[in-house]
Amino acid sequence: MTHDRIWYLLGRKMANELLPEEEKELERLLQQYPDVSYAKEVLLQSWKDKQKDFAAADVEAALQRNKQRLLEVQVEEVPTPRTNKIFRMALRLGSVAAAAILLFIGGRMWLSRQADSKPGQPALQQLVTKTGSRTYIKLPDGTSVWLNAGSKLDYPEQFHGSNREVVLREKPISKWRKMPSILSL
Amino acid sequence: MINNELIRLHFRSVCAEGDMAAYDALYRLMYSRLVHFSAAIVGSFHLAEEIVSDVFIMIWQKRQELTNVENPVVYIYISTKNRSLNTLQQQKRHRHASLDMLDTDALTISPDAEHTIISAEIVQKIEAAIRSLPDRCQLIFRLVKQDGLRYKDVAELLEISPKTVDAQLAIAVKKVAAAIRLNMPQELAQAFLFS
Repeated sequence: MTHDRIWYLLGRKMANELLPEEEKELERLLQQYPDVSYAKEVLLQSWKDKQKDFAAADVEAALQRNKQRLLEVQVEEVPTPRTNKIFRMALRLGSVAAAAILLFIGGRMWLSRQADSKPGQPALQQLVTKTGSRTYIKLPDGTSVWLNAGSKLDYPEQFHGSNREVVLREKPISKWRKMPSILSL
Repeated sequence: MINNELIRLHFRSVCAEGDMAAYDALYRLMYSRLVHFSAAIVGSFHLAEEIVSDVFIMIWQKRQELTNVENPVVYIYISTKNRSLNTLQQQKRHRHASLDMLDTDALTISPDAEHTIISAEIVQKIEAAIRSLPDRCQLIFRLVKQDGLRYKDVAELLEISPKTVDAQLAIAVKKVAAAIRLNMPQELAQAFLFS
């Protein structure tokens, strides 16, 4: 069909890709086939989405949700993705170890029930995070910890000697400078 | 397209200056088109909205590395395409998620009845004509007509040659024109013939 050239040019016209000489060619062809002018009008007018024709308010709401998420991930950005991955792996290993440690500590607590309040025990500090808020803390030995929402961390005011013991409940998002020697989960 | 030029400028401001207002503007300009594009791949608007949100968060996080992106429009579309295909692969455990099978409902566009010179009946005929086209052809028609992408941008995004884009678009235009002509009232046809 001789019309084929028209469709090609009309497509380019619609896409704003028409070269000046093609523009002239299209004009000539449209004079030859005036009924196509009607199709041209329709093709060049604005079209709308059949489904999900978003109103400006919908887009605005989506943007606000996105900004909220952006704020949340920016907090999580603090440990770099690589450390995070390594840490998650460590956490997985750690949870196995933690079960063992828990048994050990449980046993020890049972054994040392009588000698409960030993003199010279360092004073403990407790940090509790509210649900929905993450907290950053620097321990006395310089270890930095990010505590996830709804977590609890017991730690001494001062670490003495090589015994660096902290007790953590709930899951942490943290970056240990140097793992404390005993970690109870 | 003026829109694409704006997108380019906003993208540069986001990457070079961390400009949050430009980020918002970019989001508003691209949200609807990207959601429709993604929905055609994953077959769900709900998922698509999440995917587009993810793409923008990725852009913000990686912005410093993106200052050298040559064509921001294509970059954003390709990111959306890749994330959509990945999601599809995870969701349906498709080994080979591709752009060959599309949910074309998400792609359908029609002349805006408020500003059109044609009847609702013809609008329906046009829709039917577009739906009868192959998935890829519908996607190309939409990307050019609704999203204002350049031929070379479509070619790069879909990994086809610009010539193919040309040919596919001509097929779509022909179908649409045929639907309009078949339904053109006699007197209107006459008016055009003698104008």
